[in-house]
Amino acid sequence: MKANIEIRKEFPFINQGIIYMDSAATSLKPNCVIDSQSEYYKTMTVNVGRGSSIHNFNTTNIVEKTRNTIAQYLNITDETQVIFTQNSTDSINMVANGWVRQNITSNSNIVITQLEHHSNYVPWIELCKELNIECRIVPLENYEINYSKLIEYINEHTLITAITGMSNITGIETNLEVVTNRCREVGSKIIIDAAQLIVHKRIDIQQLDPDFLVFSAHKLYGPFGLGILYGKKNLLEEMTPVRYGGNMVSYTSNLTNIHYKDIPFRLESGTQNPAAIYSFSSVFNFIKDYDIEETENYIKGLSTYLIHKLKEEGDIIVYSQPGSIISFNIQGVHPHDASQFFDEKNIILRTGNLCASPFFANLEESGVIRVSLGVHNNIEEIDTLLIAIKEIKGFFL
Amino acid sequence: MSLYKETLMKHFRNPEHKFELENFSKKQDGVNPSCGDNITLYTKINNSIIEDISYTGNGCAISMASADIMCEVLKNRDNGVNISLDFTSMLNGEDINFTNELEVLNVFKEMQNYPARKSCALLPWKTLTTLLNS
Repeated sequence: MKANIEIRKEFPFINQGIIYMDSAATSLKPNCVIDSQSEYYKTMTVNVGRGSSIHNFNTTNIVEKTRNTIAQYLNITDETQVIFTQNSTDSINMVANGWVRQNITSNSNIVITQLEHHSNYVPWIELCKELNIECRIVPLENYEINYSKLIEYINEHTLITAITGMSNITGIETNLEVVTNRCREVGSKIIIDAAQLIVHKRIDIQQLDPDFLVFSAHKLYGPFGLGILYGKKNLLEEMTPVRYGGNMVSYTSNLTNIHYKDIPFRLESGTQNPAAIYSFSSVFNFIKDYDIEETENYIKGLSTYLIHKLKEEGDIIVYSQPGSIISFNIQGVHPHDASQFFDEKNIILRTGNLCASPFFANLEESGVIRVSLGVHNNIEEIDTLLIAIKEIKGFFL
Repeated sequence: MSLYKETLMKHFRNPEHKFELENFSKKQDGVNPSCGDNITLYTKINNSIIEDISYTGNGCAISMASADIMCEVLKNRDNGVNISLDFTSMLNGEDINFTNELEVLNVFKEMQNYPARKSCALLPWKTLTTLLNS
C-alpha cells in the first residue's frame, strides 16, 4: 500500500483541511474520477446508443467497455447481466416491481431484516402491503442479524430474501453463505444489497452465486447517479421493465406493436449517463493500486485503536466491531448535538438514524454517531476525533 | 460553543413543560425525518386561546429547548401561527427582534449561522402550526 501522505493526494476534497469520516455515505472521489467526468464533456460529449457518426460509436463503445470491465471485476461471465441503473435503490425497485411483483402468489412471503437500509426495506414493505403478502422481518440480536431466526423465517413459501451484505450502521458483514445456502435449500431467490460491501470486499459473483446483487458507483470511489444491477440471466430476461421509453425499443411493427431489445438494453430505458459511466470506468484502474485486503487491514487497525479509546473513555455505547464503520453513542448526548462539535473541527461524519430506522425500533436511542473510514484516513485524524469527543463530554455531561 | 446559550441549555436540562397535559383538547405528533427527533404537543385551546400547552418527545438539545421555550411563551396567547411564522423568518435570516414576553425567542437568532440545525429548532413550531391549522 502507498504511504498515507501519497494516498491523500489522490483525493482533492480533503486537501482543504477536512477530516472525512463519512465514506459509508459516499466514498471520496479520486482525481481520475473527477478528471474523467470532465474529460467526457470536454472531448466526447455526444449521446450514446443513437446516431451513426464515429463520435456516437465511440461513446457507445465506452459504455459497453465499462460494462465489460465491471463484469470482469465481479467475475461475471456474461456482461449483459450488468444493468446500468440510477443507484442501489433504483436497482432494488426494479427487482421488486419488475420480477417479484410478476412472480408472487397469495401464499408467498418476502424475507428482509431489521438491519436493512431503507433502500432495501421500504420497497419490500410497500410491495407486501399493496399485494397483501407477508413480509417477514428478521430481528436483531446484539445489533446483529439473528441467524437462527433468519433460517426459520426463510421457508418454502419465500419468494425472495432481501439482505444487506454489510450493515451501514454497524459495519458488520453478513454471513452471506449461510443466507444463500438457506435460500437454495428452500428455493427462495436472494437479492444482496452490496452498497456498503462493494468497497470493502472483492465480490466474486460466481462464488457468491446470488440471484440479484446491487450497488451504487458512488460508494466505490465513483460518481453519483449511477447504480448497478446484476441478475441471473434467466431472471433478467423474465423481468418486466419498470420504465418504458427510448433506448429500449428494437422496432415497432405497427403503431402499438412494440418489440424490445434484449437485456441489458430492455431494462435501460431513456438516456444513460455516459459521463458517469466513463468516469466510473477509471475507478477500476485506480483500485488496482489498492489491494482490498491490505486496505481493510489498515482501516481495521485504525478502528481497533478508535474502539479501544472509546471504551477507555467511558459513557460510550459502541455498536460496531473493528472495521470500516464504527457507530457509537455518547450516553446522555444526542448525536446531533455532538455533530456540532465535530463540525467545528471540520470533521465530516454522520449522525442520526442513517436511513435505517428499523435498527432503532427496540433501542432507547433514536440515532448514532457514525464514523466510517476510508483508505485516506490516518491515526492523527482519529486523535482529533477523540479530542472532539472529550470536549463534547466536557460540555454536556 | 456559541450555539448552546445558557438559556437554551437551562430549558434542555430542566424543562418545565415536558409532560403529558391532563385533559388536553388537542394533540399533535411531529417528526424530523433527517434525524428521527420526535415530539408530541398537547394543548388546551379555548376560543382560539392556548390556555395550556406541554410536550413530550426525544431529540437534541436544540429541539427540546425550543419546544420548552415555545410552550413557555405561548401559554394564554391566541396568535401562535403568527409567532411561528416570525420565528421561522428569524431563523431564515430576517431581521426580527422579539420583545416583551417573546424576547426569550431571540436566543435562537444564532441559528442563522447554523443552517444545518434549523430544522431542529423548527420541529416544535412546525408541529404547532399543524396542530393549530388542523
